[in-house]
Amino acid sequence: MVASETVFEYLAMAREATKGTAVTPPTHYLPFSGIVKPMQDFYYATDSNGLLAEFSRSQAVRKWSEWSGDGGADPNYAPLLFNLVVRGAVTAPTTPTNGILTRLWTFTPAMTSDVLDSGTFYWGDPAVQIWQAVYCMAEEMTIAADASGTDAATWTVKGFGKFPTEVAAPTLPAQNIGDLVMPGSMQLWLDATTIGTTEVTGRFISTDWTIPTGVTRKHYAGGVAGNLDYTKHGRKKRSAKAKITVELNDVSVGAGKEYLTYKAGTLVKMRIRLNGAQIEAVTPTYYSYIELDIYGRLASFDWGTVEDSNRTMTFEVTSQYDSTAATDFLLRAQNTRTAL
Amino acid sequence: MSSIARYYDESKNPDGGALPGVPLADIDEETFNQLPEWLQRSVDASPMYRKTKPHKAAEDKAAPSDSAPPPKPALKPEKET
Repeated sequence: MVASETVFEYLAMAREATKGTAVTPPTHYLPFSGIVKPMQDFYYATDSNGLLAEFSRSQAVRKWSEWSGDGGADPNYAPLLFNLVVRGAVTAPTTPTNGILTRLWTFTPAMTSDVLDSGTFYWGDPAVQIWQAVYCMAEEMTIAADASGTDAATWTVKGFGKFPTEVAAPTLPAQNIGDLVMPGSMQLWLDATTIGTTEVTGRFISTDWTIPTGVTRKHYAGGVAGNLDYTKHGRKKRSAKAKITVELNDVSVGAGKEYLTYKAGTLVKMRIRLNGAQIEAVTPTYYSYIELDIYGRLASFDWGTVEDSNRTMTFEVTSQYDSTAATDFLLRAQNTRTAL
Repeated sequence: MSSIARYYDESKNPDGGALPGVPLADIDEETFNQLPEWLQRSVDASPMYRKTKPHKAAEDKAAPSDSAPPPKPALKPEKET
């Protein structure tokens, strides 16, 4: 008897050219842990039969899967995941000014059409069983970074897919893991006019991002040949949220700074960059990073503390459409990858 | 010492990727046979591993050259005016 060992499990995936058509073998060996979970809803009939047993009949009425992964945020794998979370069909980067090795991947949500990639996911211990789930859509990604903590920036991603099938362990591609991004190296810019102009320095402590996709799972009747699985996905309105925590000091309560910006209800353009290692020292010096631009108001104010010694302020921006940027938020990843 | 089962061709790995559990180097028979079957298939599906030794040109391209640099071309004589 061979037991399934969690230490030997892997999560792998491939972008689907056609949603719901399996891609085999996987094209990306994900470096973070995750699961693919089969789901079934059953209907239990409430019959009247004079018996103490509550149910005498039941039937599966729908099937699907739920997938998720979490680990250290990785600028090398960010473009792949951003194709599922932010905007699909982004397969090529740009090269920033004077860049030789550096590549910049930009993901701006499509505002008037549904453009998200789906994936075929593979999961399990190959010594026992690998499950394959097709038509996997992302529902939400979160990214967190805390300079006062001991973790690197981390991320989680989750979604749904078709009910998984058992497959033979496929061949896997090489992992191309990138730098872990350090919260101690992150940067914050807060502006009302031009994003990325005014950096908040010496007081930025932590940030949390929540990026939902608004994707829904639609179960339609499939006739006698139907398999109870979901038929297709839908898309509803969504907004991203970005929380920032800064130290309360004479600067952060000063004119034009965080507290008074919140008090005035000013619309802000906020950029948060999670930096990794240096890529190359050209003009300018480029670093690997994951970056969020988000438009909205500083809201959901809360007091906090850092190191049990100092007062902090936490704000949350809920993304709001900016007509100049033609989006409410966007994500970027900078790395050395020339392809996904 | 066992023979080489799979040769590693660094020129086919520009991004420096790796299959976890598989060395980024030539793999001898003993090490290859100890890999699980699905990982052996993954090695054989990967362009950076091959059953035959990479061609010398590929090795030279991947490795830094130890030979002397080629001589500079002779300057053309200036035209007399």
